[in-house]
Amino acid sequence: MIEKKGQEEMVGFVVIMLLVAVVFVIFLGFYLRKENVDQNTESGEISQFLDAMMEYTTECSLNGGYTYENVANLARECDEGSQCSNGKNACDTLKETSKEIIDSTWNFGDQSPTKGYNFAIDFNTTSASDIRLIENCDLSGAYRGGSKIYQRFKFELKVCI
Amino acid sequence: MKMQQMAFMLIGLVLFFSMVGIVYFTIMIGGLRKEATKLQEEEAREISKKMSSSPEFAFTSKSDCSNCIDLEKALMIADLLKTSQDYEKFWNLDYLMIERVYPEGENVECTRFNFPDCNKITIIASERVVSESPAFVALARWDPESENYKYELGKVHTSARKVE
Amino acid sequence: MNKKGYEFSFAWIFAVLIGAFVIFLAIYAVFRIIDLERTKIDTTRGKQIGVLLTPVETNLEDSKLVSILVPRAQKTRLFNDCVLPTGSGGENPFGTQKISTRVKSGIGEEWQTFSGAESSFHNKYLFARGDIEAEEEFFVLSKPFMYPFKVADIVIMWPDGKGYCFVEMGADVSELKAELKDRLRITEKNIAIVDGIENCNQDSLKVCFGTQHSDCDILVQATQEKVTYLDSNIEVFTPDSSDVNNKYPMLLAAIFSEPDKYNCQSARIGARAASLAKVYVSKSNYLTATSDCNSAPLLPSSLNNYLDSAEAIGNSYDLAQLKDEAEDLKAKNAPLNCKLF
Repeated sequence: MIEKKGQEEMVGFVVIMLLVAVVFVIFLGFYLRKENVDQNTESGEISQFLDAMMEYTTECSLNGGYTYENVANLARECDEGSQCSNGKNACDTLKETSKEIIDSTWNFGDQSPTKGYNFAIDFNTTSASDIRLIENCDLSGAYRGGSKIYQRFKFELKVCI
Repeated sequence: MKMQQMAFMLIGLVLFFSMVGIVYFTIMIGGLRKEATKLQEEEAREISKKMSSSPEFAFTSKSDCSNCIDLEKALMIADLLKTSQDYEKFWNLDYLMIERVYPEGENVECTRFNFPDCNKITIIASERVVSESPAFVALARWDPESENYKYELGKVHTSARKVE
Repeated sequence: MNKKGYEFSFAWIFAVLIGAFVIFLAIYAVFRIIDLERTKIDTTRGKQIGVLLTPVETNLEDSKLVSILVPRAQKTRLFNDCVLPTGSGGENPFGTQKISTRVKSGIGEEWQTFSGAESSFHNKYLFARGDIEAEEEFFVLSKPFMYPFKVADIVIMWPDGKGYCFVEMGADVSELKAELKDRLRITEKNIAIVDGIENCNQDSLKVCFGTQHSDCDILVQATQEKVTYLDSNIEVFTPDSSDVNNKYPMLLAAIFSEPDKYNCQSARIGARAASLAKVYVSKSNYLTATSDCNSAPLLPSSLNNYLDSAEAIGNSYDLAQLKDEAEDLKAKNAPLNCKLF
């Protein structure tokens, strides 16, 4: 009878190696599948943007150019129906300034990661009508948003992606 | 004969486990570098957000703005860094730049001579920027024309130190 | 002859020896890998805690009180070290805050002999005992230190395991008592505020305000702006912050810290104050030259005096000596149309 003990041992060894390799690959699979959860700073970014935007010094002065109102205070003046020293309505100035700031800051376009925006200032009163700016963003698709409350006014920006 | 077989088997075993060990340590060290880089980036992101509270940049001349950066102070720090390396490693950042986003202004680096007709102040320069973490801030500066403070929209750009 | 034995051949002996050696190697490798993983966890935890200290910093707030949670069943020890600044132009002009941690493990030794790799920060000022251990959370209180401009955020840290007992907080610290008790609700964070030392827990660290008792561990003299560690009889100085509504960041820092670390951090704060003074000198000169924003001809010289004194700060006593210059600057800055700070 031909002795095949060496071959048997090698087969046994190969089986063990295969088992270990399979267990290793399974372990590797679990390890690599650990989801990389990206920190959701996106809505935080928009909230930060709104925070900074509200401090912006506008062209609207209520005292003949001695001081100029920032966006947040201009919202209050708009609610009160104030008129700027240059003859323009506070609400119109607020709307124009908001549009300029948003258009300049975010690069919107079909080829860009940000396609358009939906901006709103809710006054929650009957004295001033809410301000709405919508550019290429109907909110039916994906978007990220943020909001800021100033006194009783709510500034909200949604950016379509 | 048996000894020979056993010897071959042992050599094969040792080689196999060495290869397993090499693969494992390579993956582990790669994971460690990724973890360290992730922590550095997280730190840079937090620093971006908190830059306006750092005494070197905080606008404290008026007490009504928590998210404002004092542009004149930023300009002075950038200037100081040209002659002294004190602040170079202070924030543990590879790159730190303050950019005016609105109104845009001239696309040039700010100096004492062209300020405010410029739109960026590079405090820590880097030849190669790795994974920038920007944050929006309000930029405050003294406006000689209106004799008051003017607030504009800006961004703080930071990048973590690369992990070697 | 009927031999009923088993021949223990050389091959068998060899196989057993080699097998034992391989098993020993495997077990040794496993323990080494475990140690490496534990060091990795310790290092990561230390860096994470350091990163978490950034959002704790204040903007316009008087204080911020947060908890840093420790994962369940992973008791954590935090080691806090301070390196003195070398002065402007030196290798380490702002000094260094070093943080490292050890995490308790159920495998092998409870605590590693060495901590994970240290995380270093130049812009953080952590006031805590050198070695603090938390079961579930670290409490972090952050307060801005104004001298007279904001110099740094004082970050105070203590663990859930360590209790503190504030005894007889009198009229001189009534605002501090109100802030701690009512606004920050610090009594929920392992700190008792009591009227008599007999009401303190035996194990807690007893902090006596004004009046020394035999059981006191720390004596606070708020009006003299100093704190004495009674076990070592070391006195440190706790200058009031220039914000009259928030005077006591350094006083609280001294309570939760140790004398050598407190003095080291005071020196680091002095170095930061000196650097900031340089920035304000430049800003003042720039604004005076380019606009009508005249930050008073006197202001730059007051700033230079302040700068010279701040650069020489080596401990809390020196920091306290800067108070007069700080008050002088504050008084000169206040009436300006375009304030420097």
